Amino acid sequence: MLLSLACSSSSAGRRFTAVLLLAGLLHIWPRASAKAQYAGWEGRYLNFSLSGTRLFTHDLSLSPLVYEGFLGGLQLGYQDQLGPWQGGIKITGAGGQLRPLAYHEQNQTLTLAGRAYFHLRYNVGPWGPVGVWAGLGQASYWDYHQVAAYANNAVNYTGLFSVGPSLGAQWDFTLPLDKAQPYWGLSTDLFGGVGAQVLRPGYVSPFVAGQIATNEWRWHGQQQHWRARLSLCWLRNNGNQLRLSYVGNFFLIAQPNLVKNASHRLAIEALLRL
Amino acid sequence: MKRFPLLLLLFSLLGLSCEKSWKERMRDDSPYESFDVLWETIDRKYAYLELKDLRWDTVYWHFLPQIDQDMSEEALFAVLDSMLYLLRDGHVNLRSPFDLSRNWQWYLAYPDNFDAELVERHYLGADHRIAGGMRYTFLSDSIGYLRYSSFGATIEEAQLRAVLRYFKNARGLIVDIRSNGGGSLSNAYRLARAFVQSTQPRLRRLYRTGPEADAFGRSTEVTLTPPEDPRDRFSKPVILLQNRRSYSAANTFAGLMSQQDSVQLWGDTTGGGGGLPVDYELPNGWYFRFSATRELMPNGRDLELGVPPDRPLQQDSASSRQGRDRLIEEALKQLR
Repeated sequence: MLLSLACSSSSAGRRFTAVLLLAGLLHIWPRASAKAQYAGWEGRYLNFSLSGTRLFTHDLSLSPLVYEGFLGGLQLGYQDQLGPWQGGIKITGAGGQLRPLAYHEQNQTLTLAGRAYFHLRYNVGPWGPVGVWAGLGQASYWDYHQVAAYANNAVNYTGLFSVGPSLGAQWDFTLPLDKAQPYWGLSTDLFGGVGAQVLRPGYVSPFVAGQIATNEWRWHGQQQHWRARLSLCWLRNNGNQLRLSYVGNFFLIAQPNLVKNASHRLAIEALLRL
Repeated sequence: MKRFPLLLLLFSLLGLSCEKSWKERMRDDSPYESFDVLWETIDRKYAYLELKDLRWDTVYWHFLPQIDQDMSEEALFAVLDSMLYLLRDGHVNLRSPFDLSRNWQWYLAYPDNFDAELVERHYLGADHRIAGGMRYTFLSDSIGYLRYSSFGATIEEAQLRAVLRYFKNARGLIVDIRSNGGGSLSNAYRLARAFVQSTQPRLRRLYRTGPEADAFGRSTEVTLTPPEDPRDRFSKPVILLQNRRSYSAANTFAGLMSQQDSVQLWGDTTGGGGGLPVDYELPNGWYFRFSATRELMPNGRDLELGVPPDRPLQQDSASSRQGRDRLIEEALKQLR
């Protein structure tokens, strides 16, 4: 339900989601302790996830119209938190169909999306009850569209392989019924690309001589790439975790044809402690 | 510090609020918006504005007064159709649910010089061979005849090999691509290879790389290599029959064949269609396509202008009355 509300285009749906989240956070905030981070975060984990993504893309090499659609996805990953270090890699594959936002019935477009995100961060100290980490991230994105109504330019793609700073924070808390020890946590991270290798169709053609038409390095400004994650974590006694995660992505590439891409991904994640 | 959860909340809701404004801004499908997108896409991406000496800015100011916020879809289509008509390009079409705009004067303004029924009944006959899209047979005096009506029909290597081996003892070959409206360039390259005697760059394709009319910053060469096995080549005299309806990939094929010493082109200038067409949408949901690349022969001629024949030749009424194809008859005389 939260997924459908969060992705609702109606302002009422979004307001309800906001109130729900706010109420929840205000309820648990007074119970946050000022003591050090709960040791249950520590360890090595395998990560499995099912996700639903709502993707919007406005790609002038494809259409003046915004395309939108739902993608179903699977994620595999590894992550660890060992002493002051946090690291991990997550690889996600997703598929679905996009349609024009304005004329939904036409130009059905097959979309396959691949995502990989790597981070390595170091603890830069507690901020009250919140642990804060800073380091480097690398985000690899590949979006492939097969446009049903087109011929010579039916293939459309965006590859974006960004590197940049990555910040992370986590905070554990106790719910009213969990008196003994904290079993819950919030985990978040933010990534901003400083530079990226960009793969795009050319100005007029997807390929030149059978090769990807645009394949070059771009600094921030010529492209933008932002990724943010917020996870509600249930820390189990056996060391495993269950997470409900929201991941927001946005990227923009200005040349040779402007493309703006935004996505909301909601995932159920299982972290199995090794 | 106590604001941390609130910051998280605001952050997660940011994406949702952006979504709404994005949607609202992208829903402008007014006639003005569709007109602007069409004009601007042609202005910035169409390959032949310079070659055709079109003053596209003037076109904008000529047609803009004809656009009205409340005009019907039919009226808008008529205006956009008239604007695109000026491009004189068979690869330019606007597709709405009720009509397809086009300028087909590249062949309608010229004689056809071809009667498919006549060729089938009097030359191919009932027992000609068919391999993929190729129909072939021997005419009189061991002269072969190969009819290929669409480059959309796939030619497989094995089929082409069989055709060439069938004609291994032919004195010459008539290749007929009249009224072949094009299709896949890979078929054109595959068939042309059979008549190529040396490895050379045969075409240069130019890609527009920016909005400026002369911004063709990237190019690739099309090089054809003859088959290694001599039995897979045809090196005896060839006459290629073409007309104004030989278009797009057929036009490119004629351009490739014109560079071979053993080949003569007879008939009319081909129809053109040298650019690779690509598709796009308008904000109102209609589709259009336009030529996005240019192809040049080694002598600098742009294939959009068509490939002229070595020997201009028209079908005449006397031949038609006698049930004869004048171009085939003349080719037979030449090859005997």
